[in-house]
Amino acid sequence: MFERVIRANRRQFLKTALGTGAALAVPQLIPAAALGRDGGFAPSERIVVGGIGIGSRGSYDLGCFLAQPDVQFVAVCDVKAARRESIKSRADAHHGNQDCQTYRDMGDLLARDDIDAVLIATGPNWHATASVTAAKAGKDVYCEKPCTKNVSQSLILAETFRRTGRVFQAGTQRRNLPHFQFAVQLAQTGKLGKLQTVHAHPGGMGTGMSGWASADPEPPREEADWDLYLGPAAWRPYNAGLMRSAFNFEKGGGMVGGGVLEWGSHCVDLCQWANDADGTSPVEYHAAEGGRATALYANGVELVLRSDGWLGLGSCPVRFEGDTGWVEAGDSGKLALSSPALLAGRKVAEIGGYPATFHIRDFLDCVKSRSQPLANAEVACHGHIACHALNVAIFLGRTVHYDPATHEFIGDEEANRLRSEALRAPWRL
Amino acid sequence: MSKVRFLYVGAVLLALALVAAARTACAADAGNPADDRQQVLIEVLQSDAPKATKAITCKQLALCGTGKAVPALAPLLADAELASWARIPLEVIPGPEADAALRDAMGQVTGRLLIGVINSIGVRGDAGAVEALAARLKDRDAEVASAAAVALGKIGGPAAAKPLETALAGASPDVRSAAAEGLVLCAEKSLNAGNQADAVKWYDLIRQADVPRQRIVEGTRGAILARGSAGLPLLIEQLRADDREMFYIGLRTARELGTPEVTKAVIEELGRLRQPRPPAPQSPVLKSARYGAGDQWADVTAKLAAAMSNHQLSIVASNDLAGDPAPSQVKSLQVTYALGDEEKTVTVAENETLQLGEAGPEDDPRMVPLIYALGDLGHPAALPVVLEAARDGSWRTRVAAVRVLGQIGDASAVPVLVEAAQAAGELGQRALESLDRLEGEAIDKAISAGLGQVSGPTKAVLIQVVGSRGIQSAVPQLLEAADSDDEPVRLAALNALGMTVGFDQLDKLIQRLVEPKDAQEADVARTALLLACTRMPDRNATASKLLAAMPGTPVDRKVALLELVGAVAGEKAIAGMAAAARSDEDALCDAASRLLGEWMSPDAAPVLLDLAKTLKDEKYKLRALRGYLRIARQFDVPIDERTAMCGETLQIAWRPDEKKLALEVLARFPTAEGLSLAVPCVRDAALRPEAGETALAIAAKVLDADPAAVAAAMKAMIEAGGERSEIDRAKALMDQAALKAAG
Repeated sequence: MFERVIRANRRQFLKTALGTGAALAVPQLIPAAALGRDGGFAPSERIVVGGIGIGSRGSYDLGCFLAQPDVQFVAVCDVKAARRESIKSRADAHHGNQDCQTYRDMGDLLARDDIDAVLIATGPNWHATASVTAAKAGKDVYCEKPCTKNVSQSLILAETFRRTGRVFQAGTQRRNLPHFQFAVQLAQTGKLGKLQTVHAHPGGMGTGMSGWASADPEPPREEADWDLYLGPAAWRPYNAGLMRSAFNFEKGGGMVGGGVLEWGSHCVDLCQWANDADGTSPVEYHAAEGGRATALYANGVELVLRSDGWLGLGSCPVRFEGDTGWVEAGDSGKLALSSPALLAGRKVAEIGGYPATFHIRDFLDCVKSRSQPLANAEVACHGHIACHALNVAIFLGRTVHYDPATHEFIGDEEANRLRSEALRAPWRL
Repeated sequence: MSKVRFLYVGAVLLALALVAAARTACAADAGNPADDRQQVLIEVLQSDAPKATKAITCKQLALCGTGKAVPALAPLLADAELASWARIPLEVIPGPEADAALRDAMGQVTGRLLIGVINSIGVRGDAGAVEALAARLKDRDAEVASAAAVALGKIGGPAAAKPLETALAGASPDVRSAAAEGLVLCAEKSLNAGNQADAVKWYDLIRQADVPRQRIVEGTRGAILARGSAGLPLLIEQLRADDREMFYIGLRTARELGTPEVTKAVIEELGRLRQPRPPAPQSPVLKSARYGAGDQWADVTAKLAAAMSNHQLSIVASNDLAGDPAPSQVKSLQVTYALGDEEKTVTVAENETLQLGEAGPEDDPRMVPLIYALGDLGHPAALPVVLEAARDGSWRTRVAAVRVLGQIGDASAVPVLVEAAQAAGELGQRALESLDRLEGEAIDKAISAGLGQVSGPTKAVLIQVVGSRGIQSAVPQLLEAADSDDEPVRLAALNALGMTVGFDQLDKLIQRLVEPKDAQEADVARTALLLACTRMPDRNATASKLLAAMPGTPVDRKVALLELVGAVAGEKAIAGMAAAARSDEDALCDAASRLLGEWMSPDAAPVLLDLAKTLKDEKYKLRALRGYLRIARQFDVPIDERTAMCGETLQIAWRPDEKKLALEVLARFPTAEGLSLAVPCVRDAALRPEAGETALAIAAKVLDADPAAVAAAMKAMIEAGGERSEIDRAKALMDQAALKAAG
């Protein structure tokens, strides 16, 4: 199913684009049909996109994609028929055609040779498996967060995108917002003095399993495909409530559950960046105490996850503290600084509401340039590992030590067993 | 109502008990062969317990199961509903028992169950399963054979690779793809172990096999990287490929190799692709554009002009242009433009595309991504070719080149970037960003030197760059430009002064705010002053300077100055605010109380308290009190000070709302002192429920630390009377306090 072989013709876009180059020299305004062209952009510039699992968050992301003039959205895959049809209507209305195809099984969508990139906005249960599968099928991937369920999936995600040469962008869009970037820059460039502590809002710390709920009458597969919804998660009977709760279903997977992944995948990610630690993870993690969970980086910087004591700058706040200054930023788009002098005369653009537009633009630019976007697979891997390791410490109720080189909890078999979880067949990573 | 409910309450309770049991077992008995708790879990699996319970039990065994648990888990591999649960512990339990159980299961299950077993063997990397997996490569079920191929790859080594080589040549297409995937994994392991020859051999086999292109992409990447510097010719081959995907993997691999030789190769490729550009043909000049039908049209000239200035290649005639100006009618887009002396009109039907054209031929589409690759490679040798592309390329090439100049440029890039910065749309924006991004004094000097040699729009652009870079040595030139008759230059200079001016020249900016030429200049001066004032090293001196400018100025200027004082903060600023809050001018009182109420540090607290006690106007008095409470609630204040602030509030507040806020703060930061402040409030009918809850919440939290205080407080609370439930809770806390006090 997910290992579908793709044998379509190889794309020869470079030749095609060169062929149309002469036509572009025509110094007139001409209906495209007269040039034998059917789209808004030259083939080499247009990015053909498909969507997998497009619910409420996915619909928001889709809007950001459609707002880009070089995006052609041609396919949607969802296990629910109603969603497939709704997204098709939206895409068709946007493009003024009837071209958006619908799929129940993502293997069919990924088998299409004309699709360059996919937007993955399923529940977190599918994120890593769908991303890895898409990369192996030759697609670039924009994937909502949290991108992985455990340490092992995080590592495989990074390895796969390295191996396949595909572009990956995690849906941690705050990386592409100017006030968060400025805050990170202050920390990275020593403007706060020696960095001491980075603070992240976790958006909750509860751990738990999605469980095995009572069996409800199962709808026809065409209407809602329970087997594909479960996907890589261990089997359990159809339950309407579990199907509705895709946002949390198997988040964090394993025994451990969502824990700090909800906002941690955003806020810890920013802390990693501020500490110039995109290629590593903290080495020591402590269980939650008094509503706070902490971790320690090898360079001595402490990561603090807490839900209270913020300055009220909006959701998903972060705070970076050095020995001479601090900065705090949140989703209002505003910054709070220990001293206005930290602005050094700069005016930082204030963009509230955490839009994903810039982040998606970054992804699309990298699809064309083959550069790495800001929240690429390596970055997502280590930021997510930090969250997973914290969840392990919270679940076990004790301190754990992690080696970012070997990716093992040091001398801790119990914690090491929580690094991965078997995927239900036939899915694999 | 949610239908998520567990099958049996008993099953849930058992599962929860097992979580705790397993956690304790692993913590306490790790390494202990006589693990009674594990035995409990094993017995659950071997019992008639519901499948839901057995599923959760499998998860517990993943945490602490040993080889002893394997016989209980192995039969579940044949159970379609529990196999996926059983594989969770079987993938992580160390030792030969789990390996053996999975190998045995290969001969006993089929279809998805078999695929699951094979996948688990792969995850465990069981070298003992190579022979059995190799046999499965010929399975009639292509998904089983594919799973075996990938599992062999995860195990790695020559023995696992050999059957994959054979499958790559002779298996069905589906399995060939999986064999290639497995062989890539073998090659990676081989390379990591220092065996380059095998890795190269396997990567080359994949490149030459009849497999999907993505596998060839992966093989090619590996073949280049495994060869190291000897892989350069193969890399260049990809950079010249007509196939986009091969070109793309060339670009990525170039970055991964990242050697100076790679940079040289990319430069040469860029040179090879560059063609002499013919003179640009005459560009069409847009006159007008409208979208609609009949007599209902929307003017979309601006929309089209923006698309053309951004060198968008085409635009679709649709409601995206301006909504729907003619509902239920088939619309069209009509554009009138001039080409030389000739005026032309073109009409495009709804949902059709209008080609906007390009002033000159497009460059080879490989050039843009190659330029970006040079940026990521970051080698200075690339600078000349990128500079050339930024000067002479097509619009898209120039955009890429000016962006990359921000990564690898030096002072020689400044004139090119300044020229590009004057362009409309993305090119200009990117050039400005790059000018801002380049680092070093040499860049500053090049930009300052250019200031005296340009005028008009170029000068305004350059001044903007001076400002964003904060080039303080250019302040004299900026001060001169701030008096220019050229308005864009003058305003740009004022703005740039905000980012560059020093304390000694601050008066000149203040003067422009107090006596602006017009409203626009006042706005720019205010923004500039905000930037300037907030970066001055001595904020007290800065606040004093601003406050000193207030006498004799119109009230709206005074308010503007006061807002700047608020942004500066510090002792002088707070004192100035306090004075303004007591002034005779209402606008000043209003501004000062508002600004103090939003103060970003706790040092405004004493002034706010004083104002809350002494101001006459109740509106401003209340603002001061709430600002005071805001500090207690949000800022990092020592706990005793915070409690005292709440006490002050409870004493002087004249409305229950603020008293309740104070109680909320006391509950959030519980202390015995806070408890003693909250308890008397229960006698106030307006505060009764909140005060009672606050007192009980604090009491519960400080019980361990100060049982005597809790006992006394609860006694007082009981005496004050109240709701039955509240009294009961108070009594319970008092009893607990007494017990603790007794030791």
